[in-house]
Amino acid sequence: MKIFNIFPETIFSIGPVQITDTVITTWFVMAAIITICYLATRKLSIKPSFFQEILEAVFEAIEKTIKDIIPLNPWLVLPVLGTLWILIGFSNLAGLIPGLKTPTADLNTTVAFALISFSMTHVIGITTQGFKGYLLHYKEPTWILLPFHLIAEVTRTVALAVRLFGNMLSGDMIAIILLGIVGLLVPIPFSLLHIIIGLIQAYIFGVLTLVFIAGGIRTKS
Amino acid sequence: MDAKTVVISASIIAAALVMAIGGYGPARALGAALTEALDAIARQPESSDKIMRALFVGMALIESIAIYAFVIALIILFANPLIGYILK
Amino acid sequence: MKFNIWTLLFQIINFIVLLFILKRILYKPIREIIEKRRGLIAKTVEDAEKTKKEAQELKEKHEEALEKLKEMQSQMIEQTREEALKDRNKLLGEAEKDAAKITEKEKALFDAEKRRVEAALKNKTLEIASAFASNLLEDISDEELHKAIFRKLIKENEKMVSDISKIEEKGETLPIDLVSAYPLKTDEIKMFQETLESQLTKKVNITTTVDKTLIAGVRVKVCDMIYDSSLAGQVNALASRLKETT
Repeated sequence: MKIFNIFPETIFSIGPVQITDTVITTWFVMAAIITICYLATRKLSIKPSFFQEILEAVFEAIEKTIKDIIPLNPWLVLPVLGTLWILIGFSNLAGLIPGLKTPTADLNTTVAFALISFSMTHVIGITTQGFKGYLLHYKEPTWILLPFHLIAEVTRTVALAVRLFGNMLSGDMIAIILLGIVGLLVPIPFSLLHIIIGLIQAYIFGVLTLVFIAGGIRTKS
Repeated sequence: MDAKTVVISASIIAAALVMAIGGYGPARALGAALTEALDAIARQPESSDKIMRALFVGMALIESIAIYAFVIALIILFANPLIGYILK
Repeated sequence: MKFNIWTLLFQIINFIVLLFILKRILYKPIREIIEKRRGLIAKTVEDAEKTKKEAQELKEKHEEALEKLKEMQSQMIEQTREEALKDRNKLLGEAEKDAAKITEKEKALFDAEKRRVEAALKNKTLEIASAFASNLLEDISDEELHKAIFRKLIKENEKMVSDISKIEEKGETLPIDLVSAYPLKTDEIKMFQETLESQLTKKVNITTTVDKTLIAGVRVKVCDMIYDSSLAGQVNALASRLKETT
């Protein structure tokens, strides 16, 4: 049963630094993303080719989503958010390739992403309305809710990490268990479901980050 | 029936119960949310974009409860701290 | 399920590295191209707007010019009409004058013609009337009438005598031609001769001829003087008098 171990393992270590297979898979994923992006943006022109049109449509959609949720210039948050979406999406789908483990089925990965989302919320909040202005949003609507705000900061980050992790791990685990019980082709429908869940979870991760950012920005009404 | 057997069997039962009960509530909640969302879309098809986004976010939040339950079940099954405690 | 700080750090580093790489190879070019296109579109729209405005201005100018032209046209039409009216009036006046002249001329001509025709008609009428009268008289005349006329002539011959006495012929005898409608009896001729001789105290030589055209009565011819008491002569005298009067 060593082959079907879905939990991350340390492949090798350089001194105290341990390199797990999660990190190696992420490198593969990153290499794939960079290659695709390089190929896609190599020949950009005013008159778009078919591929460029798809790319631009995706970007316009991202822009529109951001614009709908937060009242800021979309390009302020788009790079980070886009990278989150792309990396999580590709990572979620990487587990479908035989021999690779889903990087996001590792709690360390999802916690890392959640920390990035968490820090991004604060950075955007501080840069858009100043440190003091950002702190003031914690007293809304009243001071009494301040502890709950602080608790929510922690819990929602944890929830973000655990949600992604749990979804991905459950998908992998269902596939493994079914494979062990009934045989070869049965996990395929669940794998299809896993694709959808992976994409949706990536989307939700980004949108929740956006919602948190929006919550950190006091709307001047 | 030594202590280890008791802990393991109790853990398995607990994990099953966690999944069963932890899945039931969120499933009901998801169903209700989806129903309401579809109703709203049927009533106002032009604002389906906003409704869908809110539905996704809400479903993610609801689902996270089920996920918590699932994580707890995993911890009970694979990383049960009690077993190490007993084996010591 | 072990918490591994290295994996977490590596993932964060991975993310940041990917973020910078993607920023360079994905976001920047895409953003640039989108902005460029938007700028191009905005510029195109602006250009189109400008062109439209220009076209609008041109159109307005054009319309103005057209308006002016129309006004000018109407003015010209008015002017032309006035001139034409003037011309027409002038022409009309001339024509009227001409027409009047012609009419006058025509009228004169017509009048002359009328007079001529009237005269001719009158002559004809008189001719016919006299002919008719002669015929009528011819039908009703007879010797008795003739004799009565002759006697009347003899009885009322003062005028004739006074006329004759003015002639003052050199000869001793006065030749008198007596034209009669019917043959006269010698005693009648003698009686005539006697009355004349007694009144003129002169000898008269009477020659008689018969002319049926006289209808009734006699015509006395003394030298170049004719004293007509015949019916035909009376009728002729009437006709000529009628002719003169009208």
